Amino acid sequence: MRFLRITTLFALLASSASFVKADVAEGEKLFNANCTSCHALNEKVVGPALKGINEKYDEAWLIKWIKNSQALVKSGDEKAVKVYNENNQSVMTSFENLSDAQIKSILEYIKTPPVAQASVAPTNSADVASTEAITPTKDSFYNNTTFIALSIMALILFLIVFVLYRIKKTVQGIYDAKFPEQAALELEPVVDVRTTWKYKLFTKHPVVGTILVILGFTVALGIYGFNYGQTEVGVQQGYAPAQPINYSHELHAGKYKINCLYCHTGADKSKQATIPSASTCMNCHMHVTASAKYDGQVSPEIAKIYDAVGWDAEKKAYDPTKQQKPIKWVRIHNLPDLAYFNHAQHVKAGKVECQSCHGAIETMKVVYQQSSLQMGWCINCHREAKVDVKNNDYYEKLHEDLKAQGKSYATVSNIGGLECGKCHY
Amino acid sequence: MRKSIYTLLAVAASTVIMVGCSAGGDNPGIEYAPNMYVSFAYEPMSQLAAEEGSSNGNNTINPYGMNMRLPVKGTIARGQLDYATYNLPKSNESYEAASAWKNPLQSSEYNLAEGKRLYNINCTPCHGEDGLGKGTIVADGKYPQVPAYSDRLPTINPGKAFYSITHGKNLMGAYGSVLTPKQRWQVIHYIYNLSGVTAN
Repeated sequence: MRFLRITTLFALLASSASFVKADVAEGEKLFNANCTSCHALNEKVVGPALKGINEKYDEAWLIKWIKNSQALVKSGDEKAVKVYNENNQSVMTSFENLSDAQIKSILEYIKTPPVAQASVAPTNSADVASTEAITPTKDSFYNNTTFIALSIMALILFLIVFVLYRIKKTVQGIYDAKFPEQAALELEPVVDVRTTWKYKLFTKHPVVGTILVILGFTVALGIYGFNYGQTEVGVQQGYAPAQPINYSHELHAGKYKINCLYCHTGADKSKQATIPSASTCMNCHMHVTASAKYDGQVSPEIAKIYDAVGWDAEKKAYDPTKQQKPIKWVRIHNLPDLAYFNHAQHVKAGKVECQSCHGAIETMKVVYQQSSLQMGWCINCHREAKVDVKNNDYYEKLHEDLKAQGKSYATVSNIGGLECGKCHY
Repeated sequence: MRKSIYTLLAVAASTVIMVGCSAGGDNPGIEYAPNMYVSFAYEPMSQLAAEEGSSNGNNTINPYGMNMRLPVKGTIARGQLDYATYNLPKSNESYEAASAWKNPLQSSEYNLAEGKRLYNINCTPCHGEDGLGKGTIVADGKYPQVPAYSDRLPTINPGKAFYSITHGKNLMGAYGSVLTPKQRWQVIHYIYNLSGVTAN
């Protein structure tokens, strides 16, 4: 009998424990589906941090609040009005579709989050640490270690060459001293100075010689100067200026695969691809502060965005007293005013990938100008690149004409892409 | 021996001179006659000036020397007159008022395709390609879980969705400056179609 009682007690205990567990798991699921776009357990997001909320308010009130907070505020409930005003008067979404039991399980989850949930921050920072440990090896080829190693190797090579040269000289000296006759024989026979071309040119006809030398220099410098003017003057290929914010395309476009047009919104509808306004940054950086890397502080680079738009990171709201100012990004691709270029024409109608002119931007930590942007470079592509006329409404008529002619593709030069007036007017 | 050393030195020196003038790092390289390069008219996004203090390329009128300006308040862009009614200021009342709006566009093949294109550019980083709220940023744990459309759309309506895209809602930013009203309605058609929710 006693044994039975104990077993039933244990069974009850076990079942109730598993009951609570199921509750918490259910609550976590619901929490992630409904609450995370505004709330976190330990930090303020849009709404307040939820840890300790169970002690602060009673359950019945919380259920009422979650189901329809505005009704509660309008009814003049003191606590409700206070919470509403404390959080920039942003309205909490009503969750009338959630049942009381579901809300209770969410509250249960907030009260006792599973251990894994609590350790989210540490794993995050460990994540960050491990990526940091990896990044140096992924750095450019000429990182410090490689450079030093190569320098040392070069130095050793020079030393070896020098030593060998000295040895050769010493051996020659010994040889000359030991076998003077042999050495004398090996010397080059004396030639008459007057038969050499140097004597004929510079001593016999000094004027001709001088003119020839000057001519030679002129031609050499001319070739060099022409080549220099053609490939260097006004060509900014390789230009990689430091930007006011250390923004990495490798991270945003590469790792997170954010579409180019997400930020450069003009590329498919205007002449300019456009630099995004700081409000575009704020779409994500309202929340993302990279604080795990900086001991809970906002990353200094992200703080520059906050400074530009007047965002208060503590209150999670725009501060109207702060002056908004533009971020002075440095423009890299500067086409001269004498040439017309239109992004929309190439991106929207021509369906040219951004990378075909700008290079693999998604791998660049610091963006540099990959193409020369010279006329020859433009024309070359206009001659060679095949326009995708098949799946493009814009070229429907052109495609029909091409098919009638028995051709399968067109280049830009076929449709007037080599006319001077296309770009210069 | 000595002669060849001189030749080597000369070659090295000329290489250094040549390389020193090429563009790279903060150096944009040599420019000849920049007057031909810099636009006299104020070009958007341009920050070049022919020379310090000259009026060629230097914007002395706008604050911070910016060439871009915000549209004048109360103006409506070309082709957007039909959508002017959907323009409410950001407020809690506007959000409620927006629920009266119906999507003015047909859920045609073209509108859905265009909506899909715009969705895949602007929304997928958070909402994910399938609309379940598991975009690349969310999956990496950098951003909190975003609600799935199939959960949230039944509780709101297209008008509120339009308001939310325009002004942002909760953690979501404002996309009113990025998408035109027409494009916003196209995206709304697409997300309802994607999640299989009928607009109420």
